[in-house]
Amino acid sequence: MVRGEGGAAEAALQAVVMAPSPGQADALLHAARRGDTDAFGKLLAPERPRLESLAYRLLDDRADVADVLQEVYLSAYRALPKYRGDGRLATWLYRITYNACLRHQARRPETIDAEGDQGRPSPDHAASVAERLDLAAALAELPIEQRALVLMIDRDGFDYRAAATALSIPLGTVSSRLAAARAKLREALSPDPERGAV
Amino acid sequence: MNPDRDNVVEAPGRDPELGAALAALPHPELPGDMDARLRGAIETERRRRRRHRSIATLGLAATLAAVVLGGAALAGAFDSNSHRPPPKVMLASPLTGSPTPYPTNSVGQTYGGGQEGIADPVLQGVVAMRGENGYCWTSDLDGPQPISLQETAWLGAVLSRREVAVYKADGVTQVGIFIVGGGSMTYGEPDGTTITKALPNRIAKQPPVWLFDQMKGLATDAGDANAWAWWTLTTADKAAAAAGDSVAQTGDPTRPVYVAIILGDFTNWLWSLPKGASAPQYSWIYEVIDAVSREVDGSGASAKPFTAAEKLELNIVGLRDRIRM
Repeated sequence: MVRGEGGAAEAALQAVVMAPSPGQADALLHAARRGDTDAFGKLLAPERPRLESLAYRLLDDRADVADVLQEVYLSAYRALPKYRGDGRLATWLYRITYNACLRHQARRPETIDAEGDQGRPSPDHAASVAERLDLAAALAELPIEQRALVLMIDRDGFDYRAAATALSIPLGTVSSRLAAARAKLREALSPDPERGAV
Repeated sequence: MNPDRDNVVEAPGRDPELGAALAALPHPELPGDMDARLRGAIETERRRRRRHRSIATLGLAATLAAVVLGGAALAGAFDSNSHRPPPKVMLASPLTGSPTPYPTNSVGQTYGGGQEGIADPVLQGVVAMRGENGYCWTSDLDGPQPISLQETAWLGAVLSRREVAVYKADGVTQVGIFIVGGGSMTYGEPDGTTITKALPNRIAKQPPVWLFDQMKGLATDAGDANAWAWWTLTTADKAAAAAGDSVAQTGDPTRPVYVAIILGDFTNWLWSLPKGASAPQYSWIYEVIDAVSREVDGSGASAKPFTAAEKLELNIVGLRDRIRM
């Protein structure tokens, strides 16, 4: 492989954000397995925003997200030669991210802070903002496994089997825990009769 | 094999309304240098993986040679208690023995992007913090290389993220700054267990120009102008405690002093030794410098790291060149 003067590193993570075609993905995967950082960066680029968002919602701390994301990239780079390619790459990456978040959460002493979004300005309408804050707070209060489930299935569109694989839980457990998580989140989304009362 | 890249497939049982609300939640705003951090982490891992292969290759060759030759002579070359082996020599040696594919600058230094299966160029292509294209010295990116478990443990405590100068292909003209380091360090204990240790995440501060010049001068005099150094501003009593017996405390214990610790190949240092005595194999130099007078209050040298200095908030700096950006 011939590269220009710019080097392998510079292109590695600079956005080729559009998902590559299956043929391109195969070529990227093959090159990345041989240690090509450029190909590795391109392979992960389409998944990165969702991995960041997943880590943020599981940890609720931007500083932690940066550390976890770095850990995810390193873990994926190291483990890529062992990746069998018999499932979606995204599922595999979600599993790595989820495990990295679990490890990170276990290392830090404090509990998850549900106030994470409240200081962030938003141009949206006040009611919408309040609704989002309620949802974010409710999401943060869920057990981390339930949080991961609703994000994977309801937000990111994974099927139950993929979620079960990523989180290493039985398929039946996915259904029951997802139902419990949805019930709590729907409660947060429902109109609050007290809101706005004098 | 096809790594199915269909990113979002409408799944049975998905709650689209809840999904839309979740998708509308704010996305995290990550640090501006996140791309650089990820690039640095992966590049570091790639080099580490390649180095392991090269060390394994060298180790196998050495083992075979030792068997053939009786082993005695070569065994010493891999004894971590002997003087520092120069890891940069291993990195600079192409594994395949083939001619380098990299272009060279006017002084013959190779530059470009690292390629798998061959040694890194002397100057590696990077994108600096503000987007400038340029090159970092591979030795700057690699950082200090421990040669014993004790050094590994010490570096694990003090090897924070650090700024590295980015140059034009000439390796002289600085065009920007690149940040490397952080993450974690993995190493093996003698009993075979593997330890992964999180490295300090803060970015090391740059020293005052006079202090950099003073440390550079000392390292040059001691025989390794491209040594690595750690520095901090503290008080005399804390500096003396951190240095252990190597530096005696003098004067007011609360006065401000700079601590400088330098790691390099100082085997050629000109020592005042009795005739016939061999020079000690020192890799570590310690200096306490009065912050006001800039006079050296005390100094010491050791073959081992100054373990107690871990308690100070040390800032790593490469002495090969001062960052001028």
